[in-house]
Amino acid sequence: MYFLQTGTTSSTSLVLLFGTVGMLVLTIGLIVFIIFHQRKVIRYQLQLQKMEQDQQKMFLNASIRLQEEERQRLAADLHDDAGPLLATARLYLNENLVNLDKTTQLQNIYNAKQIIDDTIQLIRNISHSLMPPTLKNFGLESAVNDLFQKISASGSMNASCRFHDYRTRMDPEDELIVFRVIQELINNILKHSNSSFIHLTQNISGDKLYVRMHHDGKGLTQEDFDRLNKSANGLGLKNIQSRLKLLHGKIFFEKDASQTYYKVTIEVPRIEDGIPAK
Amino acid sequence: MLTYIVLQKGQSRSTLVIFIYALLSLISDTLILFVFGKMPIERLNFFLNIDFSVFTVVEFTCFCLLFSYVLSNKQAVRFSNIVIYVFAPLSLLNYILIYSNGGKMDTIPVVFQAIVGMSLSIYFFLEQMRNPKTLFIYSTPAFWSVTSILIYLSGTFFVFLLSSNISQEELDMYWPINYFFNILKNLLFGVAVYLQARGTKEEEIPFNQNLT
Repeated sequence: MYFLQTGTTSSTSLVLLFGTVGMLVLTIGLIVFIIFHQRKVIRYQLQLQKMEQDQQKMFLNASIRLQEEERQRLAADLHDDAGPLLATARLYLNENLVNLDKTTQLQNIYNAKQIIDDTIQLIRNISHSLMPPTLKNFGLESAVNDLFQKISASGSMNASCRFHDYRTRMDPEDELIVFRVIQELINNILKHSNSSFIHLTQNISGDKLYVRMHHDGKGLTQEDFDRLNKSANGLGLKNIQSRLKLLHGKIFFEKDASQTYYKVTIEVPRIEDGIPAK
Repeated sequence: MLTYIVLQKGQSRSTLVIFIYALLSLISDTLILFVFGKMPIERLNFFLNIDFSVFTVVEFTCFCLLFSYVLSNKQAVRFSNIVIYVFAPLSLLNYILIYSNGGKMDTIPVVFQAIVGMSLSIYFFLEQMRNPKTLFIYSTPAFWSVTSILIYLSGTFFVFLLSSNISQEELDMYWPINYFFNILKNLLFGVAVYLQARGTKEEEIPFNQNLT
């Protein structure tokens, strides 16, 4: 205002005055905008970060809980089954055995041998449940076939599987992860779906391996999976997700177009000798 | 130019550039006030023109050096280095053609400086928007240095642009605008130097911090 009140203002000096004010306003506006925009972007990034960390924490909790459950199961198996069996065998083989007549001695030894055999079988079963020998020796295809045969043999459900293209085995550790995911999914289907059949197919497309399961029971859609994954429940699903994350794999849940079947598809990048397959 | 050559391999270069710029600015103002001011009017104009021309080149070099230290894009850095070499001949040409014909101000180099400086400042902010590296942009010395340059150049842009088209009385009347933005620029540079001296490290976005 001082400049306008001096009385000697020409049109050029007006341009100068208003130009300067305009430039100043624009500059300050720009700086303020940048400060606020940057804060907004960083706030958004931090929010994403927090969400990711929460999810990681949930996966970790799920994994720890699962490990604890597995340990409890093992402890229970050993304590409730192996423990009494060995205690019984010990009873048969006590110090008094030498004082018994020969026939009783032989009978006791035979009984103890039977019990020890049972215990060996029990420990073998526990060991197999930890690491299936078929998977280790013959690969994913045989292990899945074995698993499906056992389900079918139980008579509760019709289970079939078909591997279309599994000529080259995956890395043993990766195979174990995929097998565990399949096991967990089948476990869920058996527990919750009330379906009459499960069918599993395996395919390879590009550098990805696909395992797809169909069943006609009550299943999950992708929204259900995402929701359960974010909630405190769904320990098994979180475990599946964290296992697949190790392989950079994905899982998709969907309902068939005919609305009759539920489909679960596992997508895993194929790695041969440590190098991604072409 | 000397600053440019000396600082190519220097460390903590931004602060050093600001320091040298402030020092040369002080020398220039002291010369105008205490040496040229006491000269007869013909000699005063001659020395003032030389002082303005040289100082404009020094100022532009310092600004471009600062930009080359704070910008991430290699092409932008290269551009800010190249214009330093373009600017000196331009200023010399302006001196020969305009001042020798009785021109009042080195308008063309100053306007060129303002346009290049404002463009690089805006580019710096654009880089910060695209790829924010700090939690609070105003906690970095680079932000204050660039803000200082941008406010100074935009505030004095019209004064320098139209200085040749207004009378000496009007120019004298509007010259306090230049003083004001000069002081503001120095204050903001002071903030930048203070932050640098305090060892304000760029706060990385705490990606690994527990945010719960």
